Amino acid sequence: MSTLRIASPGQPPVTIYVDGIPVDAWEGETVAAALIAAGHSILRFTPRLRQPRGIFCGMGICYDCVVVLSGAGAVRACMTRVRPNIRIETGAARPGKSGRPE
Amino acid sequence: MSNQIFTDAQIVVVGAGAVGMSVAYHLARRAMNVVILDKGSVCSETSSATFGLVWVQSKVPVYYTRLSLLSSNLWPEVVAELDEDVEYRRDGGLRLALSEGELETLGAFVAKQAQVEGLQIQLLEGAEVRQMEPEAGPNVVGGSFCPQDGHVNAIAYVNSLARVAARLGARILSFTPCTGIARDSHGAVSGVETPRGTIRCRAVVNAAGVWAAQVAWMANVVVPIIPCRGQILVTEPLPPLVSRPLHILRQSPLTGVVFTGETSEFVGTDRGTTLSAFRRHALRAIEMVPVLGRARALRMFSGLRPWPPDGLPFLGPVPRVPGFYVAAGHSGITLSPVYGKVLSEIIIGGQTDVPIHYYDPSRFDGRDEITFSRFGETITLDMRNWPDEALLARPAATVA
Amino acid sequence: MESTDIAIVGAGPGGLAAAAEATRAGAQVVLIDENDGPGGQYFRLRRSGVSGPVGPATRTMELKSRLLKEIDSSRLRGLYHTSVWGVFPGEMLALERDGEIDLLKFRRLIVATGAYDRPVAFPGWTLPGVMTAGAAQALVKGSGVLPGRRVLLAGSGPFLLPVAEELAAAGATVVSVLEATRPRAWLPCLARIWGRWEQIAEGYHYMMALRRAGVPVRFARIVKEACGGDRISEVVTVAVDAQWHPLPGTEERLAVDAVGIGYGFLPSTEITRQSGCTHHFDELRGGWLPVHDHEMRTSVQTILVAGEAAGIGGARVAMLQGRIAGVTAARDLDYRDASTTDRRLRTVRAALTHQRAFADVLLDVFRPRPGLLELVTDETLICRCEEIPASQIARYQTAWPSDLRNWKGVARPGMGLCQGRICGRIIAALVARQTGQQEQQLGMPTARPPVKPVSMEALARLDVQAEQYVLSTADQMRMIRDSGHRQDAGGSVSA
Repeated sequence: MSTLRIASPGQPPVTIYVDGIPVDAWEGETVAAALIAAGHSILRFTPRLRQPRGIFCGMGICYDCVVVLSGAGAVRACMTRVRPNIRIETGAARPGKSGRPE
Repeated sequence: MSNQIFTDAQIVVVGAGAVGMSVAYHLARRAMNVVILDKGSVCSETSSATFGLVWVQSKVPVYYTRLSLLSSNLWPEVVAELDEDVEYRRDGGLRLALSEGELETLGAFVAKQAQVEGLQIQLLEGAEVRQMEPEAGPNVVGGSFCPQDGHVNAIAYVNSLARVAARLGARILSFTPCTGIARDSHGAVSGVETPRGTIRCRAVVNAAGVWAAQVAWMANVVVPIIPCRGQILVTEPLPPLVSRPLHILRQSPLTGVVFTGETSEFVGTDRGTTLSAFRRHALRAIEMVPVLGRARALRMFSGLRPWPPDGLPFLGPVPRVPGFYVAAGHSGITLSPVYGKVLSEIIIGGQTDVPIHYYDPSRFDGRDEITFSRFGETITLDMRNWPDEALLARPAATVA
Repeated sequence: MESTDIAIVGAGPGGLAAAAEATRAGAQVVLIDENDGPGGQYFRLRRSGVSGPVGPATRTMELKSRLLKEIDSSRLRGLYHTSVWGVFPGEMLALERDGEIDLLKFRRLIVATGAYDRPVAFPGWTLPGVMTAGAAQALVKGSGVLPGRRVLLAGSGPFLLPVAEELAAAGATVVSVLEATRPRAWLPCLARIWGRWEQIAEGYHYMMALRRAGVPVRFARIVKEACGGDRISEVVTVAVDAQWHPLPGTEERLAVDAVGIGYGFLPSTEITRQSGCTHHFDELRGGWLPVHDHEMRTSVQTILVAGEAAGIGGARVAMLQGRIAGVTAARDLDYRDASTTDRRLRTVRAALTHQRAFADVLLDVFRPRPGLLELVTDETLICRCEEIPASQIARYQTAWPSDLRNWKGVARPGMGLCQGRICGRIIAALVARQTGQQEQQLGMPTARPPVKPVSMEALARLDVQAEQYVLSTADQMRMIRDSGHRQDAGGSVSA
C-alpha cells in the first residue's frame, strides 16, 4: 500500500486505471486522493505555458485538478469518487484533451 | 490619482466608448485640443458588453452597406497604430443557414447585396462552409461569406485607442459626466458643464451611445435613440474551433472563449439576463458548432445597444446648434473608424467626402410620434414628452 | 418545475442548522449541495475505516450527528452532487446535476454557501504539492491520504492547528507550522478569551498534540516561494515584521513534498451578489458581504443568508445564524414549531452575539497584513486558470481613473473555470495598491448567472417558457426579407 495512505481502510481495494496502468484505490475516496496515493501529483499541464498542476483548493472551485474520466470527460478529481474499474487520464492539456472540449 | 478638470478645449467628446474614443483619436492625431468625458470609466457602456463584430455583409440599405464597408476597410490602419494585439482579425465572416428555408432567404439576400459596389459576398453550400470552418455542424446547409467581415476584442481596442489618443495629447476625464451644454447668445456651443466645472470649447461631439438622447437634450436637440438589450453567452476557454465570426458566434483568438447569441429586446435599461436567452443561445450555438455541446458556459452578460428608430446612425452636425455634432447609433464597433474620420474632417475642415446626409441627426425633428418595429415588436416614441425617462433612465454618475 | 417552501443552498453547518429549524417548524425544505452528502467543509465526511485524532475532531463529528438528527427528514429533500448556478426572477433557482438542468421554485431561499480558503499568490504557488490548508485536510480527513510525507503548513489563524494535528496523527512529518503573526499580536485575543472554556481547551489540545508529535510551530514567518521542477521539492520561508513585510536575509530553505497554505477564508457570495441583494464591504469578515438584519434577511425579501456567506465567523456562528434563518423563513410562511419560542430564540441570539464577538477578535488578530502582497513578483501567475502573470495586470496603469471592471476587461483574468474566485481578491488588492485606492473604492465585482459553470448541452435542453422576447432564427430571416423590401423602396424610414 502506498506510503501516503494512512491506516488500513478495512476493506479490499478496487482497481482503477491511471494512464492505462492498474492501480489500487479504495471506494469512497476521491480520485484526487487515489492519484496522489499512487504517486501522481501532476494531474494536468496548462494549455499555454505547459505547466504542471495538481490539486489546489480541494473543494471543487479552482478547476486545477481536472483529469479525464473515461465515459464522463473532464472532471474535477477532488469532487469525483473512486468506483471500480474507472479509467483516468492525467496530463490533459486542458479540460478537454487533444483539442476537443469534453 | 488626480482627475484634473481641464477648463479649456477646442472640442469636447462626450462618451469614451468605441465611437467617442475614435473621434478623440482622429482629432488628437490632427493636433486638435480635445477632451473626452465619460460618466464612468473608459469603455464602460455598450463597447464593454458587445460582440466585437466588424461587420458589413448584413447591412442595408446600400448606402449604409457602403459606409460599413468603408469603415471595415479603415480598420487595419487604425489597428496598426495601436499598442497591443487587440485580437483584430479580418478573415471574413459567415452567416449560417440551418434549413433549406433559411438558405433560400439568405440566397435572395446575398443576390441583392452582391450588387453593392465594392462588397464581396457569396453564397456557400454546406460542404463549402465546412471546408472553411470544419467545426460547422451537419445541420448547416449553407451560408453567406463576406471576406470583408472581421472581429475584434472591443474592450482591448477601446482601451488601446485611449492610450494612443492620450499619447497624442487627448485628455481623458473618466467619471466625469456631462451635465449640460453651454451656449452663447447666438445659440452656438460654448462649453460643456460637469460637476467639477465648465469646459470651454467650440465644439461638442455627442458620442454618448445609449445616453445620446439625454446628452442631445441638454442642447435642445432631439436624438431618438433607445436602448436595445443584447444578451451574450460566453463559454469556458476552448481550443481553436472557429476562426471566423459566424455572425452570432465568435471565438476569441487569444483566450479561446466562445461568445454566442445576440438578443434584441426593448426593455429599457434592464441589464438582466433571462433563462430563455440561455436556452436560445446554447441551442443555436450547438446547432451551428455541435462540439460546443460539450463545453460549459461561464458567463452571460447584457449589453445595451443604442437603437435609432430606423436603424441608421446619427452622424453629422446639427446646424441650428452650431458646434454640436452627433455620432451615435448601433454597430459602433464596426463604424468606429469612419465616425472618427468623418467627424474630424467635418470639425476641422467643414466637410467630408463620405455621404452622410442619410444620417442627419435632425431627421426626426418635428415628429409628434415615431413608430418603428423590430422583430415583431413595435415601439412608439411619444416625441411630445421627450425624453421618455422611464425608457431612458440614466444611472447616476459614479465618481472614482 | 418543482417547487418548495424553503430552498437552502449549502449543507454545511449553517445550512444544516437552518434545515433543522425549518423542517421542525413544519416547512418543506430542499437542501442542495455540490458534495456527495451533507456536511460541507467543516463537517467533512470522514471516509469509513479511517479514524482520526481524538479530541475536537471527534466532537465535531458528534455535533454533526446531533444536527442531522434534528432534521425532520420527512420534510427534507436533499439534492446532492447538484450545483446552483443562478437565481432568476419569480423565485426560481437554476440547478445542474449530472448534465441536466432543473428549475426549483421557492418561497424562501437561504444562502448558506460557506467559504473557501483565501488564495494567496507567491512564486511557485501553482506547483503540484502546493495546496490550501483546506485541501490538505480534505485529503487526510476525507480520503485517508497524505498530501505528502514531509508537509509544511503556513499561514495565519487557528485553522492551521487542526490540520497539523490531523496530518501528524496520520503519520506525516509536519516539518513546521508557520504562523505569520507573532504571539504579542494575540494580546487583544487573550484579553477576550476569559470565559470561553471550549475555545481555550481546544487551543490547549492542539498545542499539546503538536508538541507530542514534535511539530515545531514558528511565528512571524511565512512561505515566500515554492521551488521544484514538476512538483514542489523545496520551500523558501522568510521572517516577517508586524505587517508581514519579508525581512531580507532571513530566508530559509526546507525540503518538503507538500505545502498547505491557510490564510483564513473568503465567503462565497456569488448567489447573493447575483440575485440583487445589497452588499457592503467589510474587510474583516471577508470583503463584500450581503447586508442582513438580525433575522438573517437580506435586502431581498425572499432571500436570507447564514454562515460564512454572511461574513466569516466559523462554524459556531454559522450554526446559530442558520437556526435563526431557518426560523425566520419558516415563520414568514406561517410555520411554527412548539420549540421555536421567543425565549429559545433569545438564547440563540445571545449565543450568536457571544460567538460573533470572539470570531471577530480572531479575524482581527489573524487578518492578512499588507506585506503578503509583496511576495508577488512580475512573473507570479495571478490568474491560475488563464496563466496571466502579475505583470500583465500591472501594465494597464493609466493616467485616468479606471475601475475594476475595466481593468479586468483589459487584462483578461477571471475568464477561466474558477470564474474569478481564485484570482478576484488578489487582483483587487493589486489594482488598489497600484492606483493608490482602497479595495472598497474599486466597487463590488458583479456576479451574474451562471455562478457555476453550466453545460451548454444542458442549457439547450432547458424547458422554459419564454418570459422575454428573444430573437429567433425565424425573426432573423424575416428581418433579412424586410430589409430587402426596404432596400427596394429606396431606404424609406418608417414614421
